[in-house]
Amino acid sequence: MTQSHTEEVLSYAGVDLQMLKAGNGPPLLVLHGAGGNPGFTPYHHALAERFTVYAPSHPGFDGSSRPPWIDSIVAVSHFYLGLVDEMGLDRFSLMGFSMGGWIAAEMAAMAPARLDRLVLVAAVGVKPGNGRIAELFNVSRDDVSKLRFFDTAQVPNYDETYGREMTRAEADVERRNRETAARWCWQPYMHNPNLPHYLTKVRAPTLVVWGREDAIAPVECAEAYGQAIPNSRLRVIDRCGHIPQVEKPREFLDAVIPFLSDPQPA
Amino acid sequence: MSVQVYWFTEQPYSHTSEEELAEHQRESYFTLSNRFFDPVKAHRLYSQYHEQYARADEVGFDGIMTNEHHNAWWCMKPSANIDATAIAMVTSRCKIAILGNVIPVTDNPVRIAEEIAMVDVISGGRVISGFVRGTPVESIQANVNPADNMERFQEAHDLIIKTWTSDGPFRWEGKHFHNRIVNPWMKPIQKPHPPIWYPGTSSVESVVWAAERGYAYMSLGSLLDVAVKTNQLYHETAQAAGFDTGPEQYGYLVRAFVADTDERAYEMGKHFMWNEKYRFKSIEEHADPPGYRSRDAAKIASNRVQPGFGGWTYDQLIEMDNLIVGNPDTVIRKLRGIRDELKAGHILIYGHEGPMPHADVMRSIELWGTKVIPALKEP
Repeated sequence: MTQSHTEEVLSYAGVDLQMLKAGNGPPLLVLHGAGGNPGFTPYHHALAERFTVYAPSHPGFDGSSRPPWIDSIVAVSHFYLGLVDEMGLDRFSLMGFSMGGWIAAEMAAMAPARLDRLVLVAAVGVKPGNGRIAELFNVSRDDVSKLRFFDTAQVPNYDETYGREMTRAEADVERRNRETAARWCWQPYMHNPNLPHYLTKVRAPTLVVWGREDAIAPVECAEAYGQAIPNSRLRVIDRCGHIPQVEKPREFLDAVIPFLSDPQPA
Repeated sequence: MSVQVYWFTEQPYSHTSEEELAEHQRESYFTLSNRFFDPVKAHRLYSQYHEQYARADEVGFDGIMTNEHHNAWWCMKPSANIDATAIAMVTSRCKIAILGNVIPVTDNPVRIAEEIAMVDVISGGRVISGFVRGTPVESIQANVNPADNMERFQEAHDLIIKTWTSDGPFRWEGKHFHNRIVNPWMKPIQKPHPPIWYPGTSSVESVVWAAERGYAYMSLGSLLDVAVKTNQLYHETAQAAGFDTGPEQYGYLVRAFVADTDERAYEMGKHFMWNEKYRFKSIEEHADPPGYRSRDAAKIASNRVQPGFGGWTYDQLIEMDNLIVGNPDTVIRKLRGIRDELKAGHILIYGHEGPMPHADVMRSIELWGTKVIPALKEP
């Protein structure tokens, strides 16, 4: 049964942070991508049946403020590690999508002892050996929208969610999200050249989930993460693009829920 | 001081063909490959443009304005300071108005301070130093984060002014720029530093920035009714900041061609439309990259119906006095009108465009010097 979520504003380190929360069980921090916080969606609810899901809006995105010092992925990663201390979460699991996966990976390397499990979904942050992370800022929004999914027919409510014209208020939020993403990801573009070296410190069992046809962060990024993180495994979903949690929700949940629930994953 | 008249050209690579543009620039100015550039043809064009500069100086232009753009088939000036040096070398008396250096996209503002000082010294103190944020293209081509553009502009400006006005060595540790030893040997002749100009089209933030510092504001070809409003805002803001402003604080750039007859000028003036169709053609994301505009400015823009710089026809632009063509009498009458309406102390003549024949441009410069400029200096 779907549980309703709560929404509150946490004030910490100069940020008024919009925090969505639902569920019971071990804490799971879920970090959204550069497009912004999608809200509490079906996969959040599915996760909330087993975990206490925290889904913040990053500083500078959606309903969260951003002080000038949070001007990079490293800076926001430090911010979140301070926040989980403030929230009293001694240990937690961490899941990040796309740019949020990059933040999660930095956090995992910064505080390896704190994580129970790490899940990286279509994460940017590492430079692929072959191919390249798609250009998202210097191209039209229409072109970007063509890159998200392998097949939009697989995406529930695609037209209502992705295909319609934004309201003026939504456009203003989108503009600010885009600006913050640019501040954090402009150069080096969408990656930290040192991150693979940092990731050797990660101790938590790690699941790397990817769409085989990801046209934004190519599957070579998944392989780079898999090589860098010692205790990691890779789940590649066929006929799937950059947002598996939306395009292939069943396969996605079948991969992540057992992994997060298993006390001793192999 | 009577009105000061300046010569300006974008120095277009005028060999670019309509067919190439139509084929390869469907979406954006970034999509026309530089494989269409022929440096030998460009060399010939530079020679003509420099000959025009020399003549403009001889016939009585008070100054020559230059600028820079990147990835641009319509402007062969990727470095304003290099062109300023060329002007210094082919002229002997006129001002050299650099409008301007794109200081947010540089990694080392001290180098810009040195270069401008060098041109000032070479030219014997003839430099006017404009600073600009650059179009979004300048940020994208330099791969400098557009969200930092305004902050980098402010900080680079402050560092350049300090470099010119303080004895070195000193240390600069800002947010975007870090120079542990600032001590360039080269400093400008003009003290405390060359005059500063700041240009804009219609952005309120730009007008206010210039006015609060007492820098002369140059309106770059805005429609006249917009220019009247920015002019008023400029003087009010500058006076509130304690500056005693006059015509010398305000300039207006206008596309204009003078020929012996109205008919010839009308024919030649059509070349001003050479780049209208493609120059401003781009996807929104190139014209408005993330964070380049403040959110307030973006809101104002989204609430305003903009005809777009490229939306008018040749005859409409002439009708609105946004583009002026004619024989000397016609041009004098129209430019006097603009001068008086804006109380402009500087008129920047954007006098050449596209494939205008060199001989016609040289004749035009002659008429500016012998007929139009003397008349504009009269009340």
